[in-house]
Order: sequence, then C-alpha cells, then structure tokens
Amino acid sequence: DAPPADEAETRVEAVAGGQYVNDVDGRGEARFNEFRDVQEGVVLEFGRFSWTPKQSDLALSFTLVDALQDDQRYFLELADPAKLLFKASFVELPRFYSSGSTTLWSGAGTGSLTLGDPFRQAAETLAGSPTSPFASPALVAYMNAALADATRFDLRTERKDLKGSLDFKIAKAFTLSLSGRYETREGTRPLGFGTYIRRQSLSGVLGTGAGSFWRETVEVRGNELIEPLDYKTTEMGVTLAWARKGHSASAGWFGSRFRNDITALYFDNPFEAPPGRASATIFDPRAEQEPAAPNGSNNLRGLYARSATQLWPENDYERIFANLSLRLGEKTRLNATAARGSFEQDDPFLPYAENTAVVFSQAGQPLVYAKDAALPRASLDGKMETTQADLKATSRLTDALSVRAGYRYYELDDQRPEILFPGYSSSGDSFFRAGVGQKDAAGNRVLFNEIGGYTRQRLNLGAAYRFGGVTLDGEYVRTGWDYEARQVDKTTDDAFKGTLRFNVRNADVNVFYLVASRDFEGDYEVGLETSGVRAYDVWTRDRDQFGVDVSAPVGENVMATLGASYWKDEYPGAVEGFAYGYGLQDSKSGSFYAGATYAKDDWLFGGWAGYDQYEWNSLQVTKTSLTTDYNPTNRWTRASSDDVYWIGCEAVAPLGKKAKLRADLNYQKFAGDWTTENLGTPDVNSAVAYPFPELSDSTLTARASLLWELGKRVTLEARYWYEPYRLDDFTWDVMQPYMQGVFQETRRSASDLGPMNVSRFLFLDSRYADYTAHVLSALVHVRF
Amino acid sequence: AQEECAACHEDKAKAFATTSHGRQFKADTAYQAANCLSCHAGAQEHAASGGEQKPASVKRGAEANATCLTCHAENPKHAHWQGSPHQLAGVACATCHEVHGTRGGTPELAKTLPGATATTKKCLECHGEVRAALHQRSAHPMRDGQMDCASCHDPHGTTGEKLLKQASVNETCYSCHQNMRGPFLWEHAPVREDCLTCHKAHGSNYPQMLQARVTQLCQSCHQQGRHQTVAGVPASVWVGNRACLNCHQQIHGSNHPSGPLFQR
Repeated sequence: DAPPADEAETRVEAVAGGQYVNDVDGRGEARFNEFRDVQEGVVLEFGRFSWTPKQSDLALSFTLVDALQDDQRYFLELADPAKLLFKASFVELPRFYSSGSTTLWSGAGTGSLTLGDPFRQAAETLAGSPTSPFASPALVAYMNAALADATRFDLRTERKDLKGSLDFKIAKAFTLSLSGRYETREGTRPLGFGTYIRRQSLSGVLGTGAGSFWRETVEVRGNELIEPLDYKTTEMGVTLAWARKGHSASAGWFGSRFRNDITALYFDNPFEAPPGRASATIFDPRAEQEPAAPNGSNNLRGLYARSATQLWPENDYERIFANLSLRLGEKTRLNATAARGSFEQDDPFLPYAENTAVVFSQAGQPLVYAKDAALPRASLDGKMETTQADLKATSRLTDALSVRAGYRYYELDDQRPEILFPGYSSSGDSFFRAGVGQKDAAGNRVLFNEIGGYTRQRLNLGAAYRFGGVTLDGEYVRTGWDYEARQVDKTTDDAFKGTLRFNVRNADVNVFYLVASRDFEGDYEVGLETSGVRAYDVWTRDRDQFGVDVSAPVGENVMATLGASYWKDEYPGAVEGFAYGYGLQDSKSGSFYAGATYAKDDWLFGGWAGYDQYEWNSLQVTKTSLTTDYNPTNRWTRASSDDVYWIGCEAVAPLGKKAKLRADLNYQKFAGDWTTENLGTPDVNSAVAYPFPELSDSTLTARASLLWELGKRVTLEARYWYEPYRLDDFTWDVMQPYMQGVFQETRRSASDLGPMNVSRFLFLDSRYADYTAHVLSALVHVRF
Repeated sequence: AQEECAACHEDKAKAFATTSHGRQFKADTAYQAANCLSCHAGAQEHAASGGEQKPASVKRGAEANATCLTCHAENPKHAHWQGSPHQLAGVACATCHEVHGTRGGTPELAKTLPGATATTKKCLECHGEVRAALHQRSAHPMRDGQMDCASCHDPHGTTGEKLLKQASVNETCYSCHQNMRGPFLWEHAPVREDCLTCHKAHGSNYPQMLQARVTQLCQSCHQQGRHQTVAGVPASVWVGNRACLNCHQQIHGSNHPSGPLFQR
C-alpha cells in the first residue's frame, strides 16, 4: 500500500466511514476491547498528511490511527535529512480487565472503599452462631440480594503516552538527540487481598489445634479489591553522538520520574462489622485484646473492620551511558559500552496496622496498639544502582574465518538500609506476629529486610568458518551470577552452541544445537523452605536445545519456510541432607511451523501453521503439621502440559482491474492439562491429588475486505471482521461474586468435598468471558 | 549516473527520490556523491550494453550487507550489528528493508486491515513461534499495533541479551511498567533479578503472561508453610481466581512495614 510515487508536495490519505459492531454479550466486551476500542458508528480509522516541498529538504508527515477513540494514536514527523529529525506521538492504550463487575463497596477508583455499617451489621447478625456461621441460608439470601442491587462497573485502565524526540546534527559528525515523555495511567483494576475472620472459639469446631492453616483461629477470606491507578511518569533524555569514517561514539543521560497520586488503599472488610456495632453474639476483639490484658504473646488476634494496603510507591530512575565503536582496519571492530543506573524510592511507610485492635509488645516496653506504634524508620530511603560494562570485538581474520569475543558485566548494587522490625501485623490485619525465621543478635524473633544485590558476568567466544557455501559457527558462553542473598552464593552456566548454515538447491538451511550446564558453588541454603525445595532459577540445570530453519524458493513465485525447535531443561539432584529434590523437574518444549508466500503480479498469498508443546513438571510434598517434618508418603507430582495449534493466512487477490480482495485470518487453539498425582498413599487428606479439568481457549480473528477503486484518488472498502473467543478455565468457571457454597474446604476429611463449606469469598467477578463479535465496516479511502 | 539510469528507469528514479535514501542523497552534502552506482556496481556495463548485460554485481542476501554497511556501519545505531544474532544468522539488510520503496519520513503502519504494525509483521515472517504467542490468551498488545517488536528489541544489535534495547530484561520491562521499579522495603529476589522467571515476554495461555499456573509457579520454589504444600482441588482458594495472589498480591515487592509476605 505504498503511496503513489508522484511528486506532489502535499498528500493526504484517509480511511473513514461507518461501522457496525454486534452486541458482544456485555462481559465479553472486556476481552474484545482488551487493548483496543472497536467503536460503532462513524470512524476515522487512518489518516496521513504529508508535505514535501520541492524548494526545501524538509518533509513533514502527520499520521493518525483510530482518531477520537480510546485507542487513538497520532504521529508527527518532521525531517530534514541533513539537519534534523523530529518525532512526536500521542498514544492511548486502554486495558479492559472486565466489564460489568460487581462490588458492594463505594468509592471505586479512589483510595478508600467503604461499606455501610447497617449492611455489615446485618450480615454479621444473619451469619448466626459463630460455630457454624457459614451455612446460614439467611445470610446467603441477604448477600445475593445485596449483590443483585450492587454497583456494576467496568474495571479498566487507560494509558496516555505523549513522546517526543529530536535528532539534530549540530556539526558534520555530531548529532544531538533529545527525548521527552509524559505518560499517565489512570483507572481501576482488580487487586487480591486476603481478609481474615476470627473464629469464635479457640477450640472446637473445624480443626482447632496445630497443623493446618485452616484449623487455626484465623480463617482466610479471598477478596478482590478495586485498585485505583493514578500514575504520572515524566522522562527526559539527551544523547550526543559522533560518527566518522566508521568510528562512532555516543554518551547520554536518561531520567524517569514515576509519581502515583494514590499510594495507599483503605477499605472496609466486607466480612466484619466494626467492633461494637455488631450483634451482641458476635465476637468482640477488644474483650481479649486490650493491651493491659493480652491473651498470649504471639496470639493477639482480632477482627478488623477496616484495613489498608500499600500501592505502588513513587520512584526515580536515572541512567548515564557511553558507547565507543572503533573500526580497526577493514576487518575488525571494537565496541565498548558503559552505563550506570539508579533506582530510588522514599515514600512514607504506612503504620503497621489499620486495625485498631491489634497490639504488640516489645521486651521491656508497655503494650501498645500497632496502629500507633512508632516505626523504626519513616520511609525506606532506598536506592539500587546498576552498573553495566560491555566489551565486544569482531574480526574477519581471513575471507573464510571470522571471530568474535565479548565480555559483559552487570551489577545490581542494593543500597537499601536494613531495617529491624519487631514484627508485623499479619493475616491481613488480624494479629501482630514476631518475625518468621529471623532473630536479632539477642536471639529475639524479629523481622528485617534482607539486602541483596547480584552481579552477572558473561563471556562469549565465537568463530565462524565458511567454506564452499557452508558456514560453521561455534560459540561458547559462560554466564556467572554472584548473589548476596540467595540460596546459593554463585551460579555458573556454561553453554556451547554450534550452528551450521548452508544453501542447497536454493534453500537456505540454518541448524543449531545448544548444550548448557548450570551449577552452583558452595552450600545451598534452604532458608525457610524446610522441605529442601529448590529455587529453580538458581538450582543446577542441564539444558539441551535444537533448532532448524529452512527457507527456499519454490518456483519463481513461492517462498517456503519451515522451522522446528526443541529444548529440554533438567533440574537434577537434591539439596545436601535431603532425600528428594522438590520443586521444578524436567521441563521441555517443542515447536514446529511451516509457511509459504506466493506473490505474482498483484496476487499475494501467505499462509503459516504451527504447533507448540510446553511441559512444566514439579514434585511436591505436603507438610502435615506444625511440628513434624514432611512425610515422603505425601509426595505428589504436578504437571502442566500445553498444546498450542495455530494457523494464519493473508491474501490479496485482484478482482478485475478495479477491485481486489484482501483477507487475513489468525487462529490459535490451546489445550492444557493440569495433572496432580500421588506417588504413594497419603496419610493426610490435604495431600490427596484430585483431578483438574482441562483448560482450553481459542482465538480466531478473520477479516476480509473488498476494495473497489473508483478512481485514482478514491477507493471504497467493505470489510467484515469475525472474532469468536472461547475460554474454558476451571479457576474461573465456578467463580461467582459471592462464593458461599462454592469453594470447598478439603482439610478435614474426604467428605468435605460435599456441601460442607467453611469459607466465604467476595470477588469482583472480574474476568474475560466468551464472546462472538461481528464487525461490519463501510469505508472510503481517499488520497490527494 | 543518476540521470543516465533515469533515462530508462524513470519510474524507479522518481520513486527513489521520495525515499529516505533519495532524500538523504539530495540533502546531505556527505552523500551528494552517492548515486545508483553506489550500490549497483555493474550498472555502467549494463547501460553501455543498452540493457543487454544484466547488472550482475548486485549481490543478494547477506552478501549484499557489505554494500549497505559501507555507509551504515558508522551509524552508532548499527554499531552492534557485527556479532549480533541476526548478523550471525545470515540475515540480509534487504530481508527487512526496502531500498527503493519506502517513502521517507512516514511511520510504517498497516492501513487497510487493522492489526499489527508493519515492523511486527516483518519480524513474524521468521519468528513463527512469536506469531502464535501474540494470539494467546494473555499477550502484550502487539496484534492490534499498540506495541511492536521494536518497542523492546533493536534488530540491529545491542549490548544486552535477546537484542533488548535496555541493559537487562527488567530494565526493559520497567520502560513501561515504571511502577514496578522500586526499590521496595520487601524485595522478592527472583522478581528483581529477572521478570522472565515467572512471565513470558510475548504471550501465554495463562493469565498475566505467566510461565505456568500461579499455584504451580509459586510451589516450584515455596513449600515451607502448610497451605503452600496442599495438592489442592480446582475449587479452592489456593487455586481459584488469583490462587496464591488472592492474598500475596504485592508479589513484585511491598513497601508496607507489614508486607514481608507480600500481602499488603
């Protein structure tokens, strides 16, 4: 679709018209419009104004896409090849998370989500006896009625991104580049939060006593909050570049400032009424939690009616960089790059707790409410610095032999201060807990943030030898990580890749095989992972990878391509002192694709199809109690296996002299198995492997356009766009805004899989659903 | 020489004048000596023979790259071409670039059918596996053209891995996800080191472009608690909806004094 090669100074192109979009079934609009806005009615889909005056070297162009829609894009470019290049753009990027979500809260999009006290008090009262508050038909009816009347709204965000850059030739060999960006991101999206409810009694009912998360006196409630976004990012950059006779150098600075107008979200707990306002039969936390009369040093648990979570803190980022590239003779080039970056963040901390009933004690100090307790520091005042250095040399030693070598150094220096906390408000905001697994010098349980950066170094040596149309390429790469606070001190990966390229009967063939081995030095520290589970990103790994690509002309008008790849990762062994290596096991992936393009005269047809397979396997074990270790009889495996089939095509077919048909189609089908199997007969119900339904989804986008050229400057287009989307996901299939009676507790016995249910969950019903979309467009293309 | 060629190839000459090359040759004194012969070394013989002798010296494929690099090698943006994955794979400049056709000064955008940008379409001609990823359930907005491959990658070579423009995977991601830069009071080490520990870059059949289901992904490294070790059933809080992230929602890092477990 290149514009006509005429010499007009001013050109205008536009594609505009009307569009009909069928009802994509309400909720389905979320996925259909996930990143785009397919508007019904009048649309200006594309426009371009370009001006290239004959008496000047200037060229100006202004392009728009989807004007005045939520995904509108505008691009401005001004160029004088000998002097400057100025680019500016404004892009809007919507993101729909769901349409028609449901919430009982007021204040969506703000930093405070509130519930009416009468509503909550009624819910608590209707819950009935605290020993069985969850099977109350009255409560179910009450909540269902409330949800039916609740606010329905869209969860969506919108990015607005304004960018500009100017490359200006300030002297013959020097170019100065300036860049700027201002981006906002506003809206709402779902955010999980575990709310907790305290059981009435410390004994009795569903598993009190030790050993089960469910059997404690604090019980989790799954929740989805409405996260408000109000981001503003400002960025600037400047680069000075020099280039002459094959040599070049550049240096510059880049700065980015992220600001968030809502850095905390306060919300009413939908499962708890405010203390003192609930029915007399409901547990009053203050009765047990007055600072003067705690019921245990580590067991000060209480309801919370209101809580808060931190949202993204504001931060600053800066980077300076320099590059030097030298041509040494005709055959050799040297490159050196250095960069240094810094991340800084100093947002004020929120209090330990929002729940006014939570208290905590420190040795020798009076008990205090956590909400009012002084923090060790008011903010992090944290900084991380990155240092990057690259050296690269390439040389063609002879016409047949070329060599290359490179070294890369990347360091992340964690300069955050270590802060010692007496503990934290746990389980949402239910009780104050001393540190987990950490102790201070005196042996007291405390909590502190671990400081730990890392260094990554990479060395590569390669050579390519060419003889008679065949190229043999070999490369060795050693990558080493040096950690400050991981399970291992150092990890090293050695990889060798061999590539063979040749041409046979006009077909270009590219084949490679890579073998790599990663290992760590010293001891593996399991830390809190007392089963010895291995963190797969630092653990020993053996990798094999193979790939082949073939492209070949078939006759005069067809180009065919064929490709296949396969990789397999193995994570052998177990942590010293442990019998089993839990965690990720062998994973592998294979893919195959083929495509062909036919082009002759005005005809064009391209088609491609492929199949991908991906497996991820893990070995796990269930812990049976607080005090005993893991019993191997409770081992189980989990495997996910993904099969992806895809096909696509694109075609242009002339229909006589004035008309042509354009069409494209992309179809993707995913089917995934998620299996869990026991290796023995478990002695605890929570280790029993239950089957999972298959996952599947499919996306089809098919579009066809009939274009009819009325004249040199006007073309009519009729377009049909068909897009069905299908999703079958067991984690969402059962999802309801209010989940009573749906989620099932499995800890006590197998019979718990029946109607027994101890939990309530409140979600926003935020998800993508199936839809079938039809879009009909009648458009006019004009250019003059 | 330009005029001599235009005598027979008038349409090509006119079109060429409006391209980036044509405009550069005309406006930039450094290139005013450039003409058809700069690339078509056999054109003189071709013209002298009245067109009978084909200009055989126009090399094809990667062999032609040397011609392009005669001028472009000194561009700092191409300083890393030598030794880059594309150069090593024998990719030719002309595989992606149209020397004669593209009008200078205009962004490449698909026009007739909405969809991926011309840049993305070009990359997908070879990177078939990415084509599939873009159409999966969770993907960056590339199939509709709001992003393209060049948003993250520089096909001409970079100092980083995978032809990324930025110094690391994470710094690439932070280009758009600035909110995740931190640093945070409570850091999640694998997150700080490599976003790809948990996410796929191009597309996934799991929500949030994850490598695997949330439960399985988290359990691959974590099973010290009791609830973390449960085999689970489909309809449980450990598996449903956000699974582990139903509670540990600030998994990228928390700045809350009570957020060591990334719950707030």
